[in-house]
Amino acid sequence: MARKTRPRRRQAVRVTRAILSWRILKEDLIGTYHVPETPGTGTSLNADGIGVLILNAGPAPRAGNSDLSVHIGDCLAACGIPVFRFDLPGLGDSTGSVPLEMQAYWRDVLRGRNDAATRELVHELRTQFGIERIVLGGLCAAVVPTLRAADHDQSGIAGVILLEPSFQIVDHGPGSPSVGIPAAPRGGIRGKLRMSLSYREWLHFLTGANRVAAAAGPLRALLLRALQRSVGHSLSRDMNVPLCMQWQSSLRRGTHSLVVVAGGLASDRDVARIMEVLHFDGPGINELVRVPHTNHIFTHGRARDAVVAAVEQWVGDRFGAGGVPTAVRSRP
Amino acid sequence: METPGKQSERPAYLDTPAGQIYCVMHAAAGQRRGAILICGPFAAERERAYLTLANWARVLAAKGIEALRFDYRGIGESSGRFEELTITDWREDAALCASRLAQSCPGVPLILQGVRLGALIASELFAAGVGDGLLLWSPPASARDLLWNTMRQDLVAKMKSHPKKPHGTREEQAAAIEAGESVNVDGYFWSRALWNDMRNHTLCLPPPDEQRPWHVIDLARVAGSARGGTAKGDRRELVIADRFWEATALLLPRCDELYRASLEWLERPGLAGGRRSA
Repeated sequence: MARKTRPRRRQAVRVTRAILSWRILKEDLIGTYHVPETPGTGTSLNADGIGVLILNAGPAPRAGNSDLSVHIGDCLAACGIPVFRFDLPGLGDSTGSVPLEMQAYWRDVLRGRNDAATRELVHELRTQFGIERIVLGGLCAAVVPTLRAADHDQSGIAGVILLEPSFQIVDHGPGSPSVGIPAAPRGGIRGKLRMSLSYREWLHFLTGANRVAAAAGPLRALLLRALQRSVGHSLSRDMNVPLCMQWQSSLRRGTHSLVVVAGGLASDRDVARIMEVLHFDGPGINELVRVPHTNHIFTHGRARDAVVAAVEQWVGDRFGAGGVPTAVRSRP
Repeated sequence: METPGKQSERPAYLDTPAGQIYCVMHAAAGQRRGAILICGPFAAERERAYLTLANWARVLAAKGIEALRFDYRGIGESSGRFEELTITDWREDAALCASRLAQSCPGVPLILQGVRLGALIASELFAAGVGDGLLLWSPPASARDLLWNTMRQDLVAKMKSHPKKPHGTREEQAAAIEAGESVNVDGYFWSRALWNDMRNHTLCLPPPDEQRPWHVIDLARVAGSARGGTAKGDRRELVIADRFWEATALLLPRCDELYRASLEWLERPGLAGGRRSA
């Protein structure tokens, strides 16, 4: 399904913000609350009574890269939706420790460093603000605790927003074997032959990412199904399969998801592969939005406005906030 | 240098007619000996420098120096649209924060600290008579230098990211801005107003006869080395530390030497512990 809509110029809406400071898991977590426009004065209503919680984009402060999360917060609050952005432990203004290196931080995220705090934040928001269900999300590393929380708390989480999700396992810690796809051999006919029969090329073929796949048509789909039946799943070895399964599980239990990827980057290929292999068969609906000509953190081009518009429209479509169509969407 | 543990930190908004200015006050541990306003970098440099400056504020608070961090309007947690704001507006934000900090910390010296763009702003406020001391980290020669360099680094990043796509030159981007177009530089849309305003902001180092103490620390890095070191001058010194406002694989860039050199200067007589001048 592809939908094209005309971009609109966003009106400047003045949204009030307030600061929250909560003691969670022995740390002081600092957050920003985008106070929603009151019903009747906003552009639309929050029919489902949801609230949105946006987590840190990797180690960036809660405003996000180039303040992307702030823009999402202001936009949704103007539609009558309360939005919260919190710094997870050790990030931004929150207390707590972080490792020295990014690689170590990512490894800790995969090992669950943000999972408990995220669940506690969801619980506190529902309790203190009387919000029935939360839409949870964020960019890159925020996707890991988001999907784990969605899998853990089905009743409290209405949807997930996955911006440039990383489903890869990158763990170079001591004792961790490398699980990446083998590098392609180079040079000569022999090398090319070896490359064309390599594991990597098979994956490209099976996921429709090379020219042979395009020519193969239905044969590829048949092969894919056969592989799934024999192996259980056909994701690459560096894919975080448990996280993919948690995503699939939450969709099956009715949690909607929005995925926004930078067109042509690794996450785009990974998400397409996961969606193809894991069969997202609802009742939760997954929607994929590709933003072209940008980078992983959506700071190039006009990506920021495209992401904000995609989130606004998705929230409106799924939870009755009545967003105005602004983005180009597609399903692979 | 170890980062001190949790102290009293109060994030809040300063509500002004122009909008909400986000600030975090790091209360001094024990007896308050001074107060420091940290004028940080702008745009994407802000988010890269965030943890380093938060840690620095905690270090200061642990040493008895009250520290106030804030976001300029249109950036980070403060309200406003970046596209509508200029360096002159951000100087007003800094002046307001300095005034509030002075009110909340009577009887101790008020030190202005500027980092990158914030160094230009802090130096202008100091020249206007605000503050009892001035500490600058890696100040650019002018806003023009800073903006042109930021543009260059952004173009390099874009070329790496999309090598086949034409990206134009800095001169072309500058011409577009001057023609009234908003141009995305490092994720922020630069306006003609910002571009024109850069000409009004050059680093104003205090004159030789300035009685109030001031100090400039420039940063240099040694590739592949974590060793720190300094080259000392009377008013200006070079410290080996990571350029923490740049993209790096480190969450916490190595700034121990920078912290140490800054604390050494702050501990001088007449600053932390001294009385504020009238």
